[in-house]
Amino acid sequence: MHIPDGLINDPRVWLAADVVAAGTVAYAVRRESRALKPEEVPLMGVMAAFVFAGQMLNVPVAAGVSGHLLGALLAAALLGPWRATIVMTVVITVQCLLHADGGFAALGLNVINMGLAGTLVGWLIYRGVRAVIAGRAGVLLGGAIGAWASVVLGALLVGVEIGLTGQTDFVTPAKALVIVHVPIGLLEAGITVGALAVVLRARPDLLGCAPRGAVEAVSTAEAAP
Amino acid sequence: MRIPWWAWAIAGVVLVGGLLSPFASSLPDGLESVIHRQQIPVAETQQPSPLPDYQAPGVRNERASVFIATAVGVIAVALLTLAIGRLLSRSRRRGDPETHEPVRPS
Repeated sequence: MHIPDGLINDPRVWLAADVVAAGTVAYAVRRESRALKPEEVPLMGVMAAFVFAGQMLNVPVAAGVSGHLLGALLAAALLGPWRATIVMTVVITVQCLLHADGGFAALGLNVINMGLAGTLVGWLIYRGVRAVIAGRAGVLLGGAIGAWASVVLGALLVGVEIGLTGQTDFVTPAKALVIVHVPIGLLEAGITVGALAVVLRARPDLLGCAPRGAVEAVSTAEAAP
Repeated sequence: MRIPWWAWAIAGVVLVGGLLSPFASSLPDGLESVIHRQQIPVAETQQPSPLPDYQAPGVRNERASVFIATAVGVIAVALLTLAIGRLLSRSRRRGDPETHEPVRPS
């Protein structure tokens, strides 16, 4: 879903996206400069490594089309929306500067489509599902729906951005992009749920869940004289 | 010296990601396929980069080339994120007198 330079040819569109992305990232940095604890930093680094590697591994999803993990919703579920925003921005910036994957002028567009769509909008959906369905089921279902939605929303945004340049109409590219990203979103949901299930077993506290057996342990302790 | 857990985790991602990346599908992704099918114009641009298209220039063995490019990328994002995180968590220590002693300018 990386937008190369030369696709969004209208400078007003990519400049506006650069400003929106820079402003959002600046807010995330400002917020985390007050909240982030030193012991919470390593998980951000590991997440960045995981997301970068995951984004490299394209798998065929339909005839003649491949897709790869974005990882934005997974990062947001584990780190919260603002830390995840910082992680995704680092990954997308390094892909652009080191590997020429995604244009330099289009950096803001790519941060919005592949980062913020998941870390902020996908995360809101994830939290919404968790508010309705408690516990592990809520984490996994919220992760699945949030991950799928973040990919499809990202695709829709790409379509709208192409439409904004005036080279095409709004509907044709957006429709095709959304359709092709429905299965790619399922891939995203599958990997996200798998990763969340592993974390729920190993470190449920990272997702705000009590360890397995904790409820019984508490009730036994209370029952004891 | 004890190696911290996150260094193991990042090394694991480098190894697994690097070994799997040569087998990644080279089919066009969703956006590329739509650009191609709908013939949406893309202007030619030159974007210089040290490891273009996830290949290490000059390395003839294809798998080694992708492995190197992946490893460098994974390590770069991890170190950059750790550095930014460190900086941010330090500014918290200075600015939060409730949990840490305030640093008074002398």
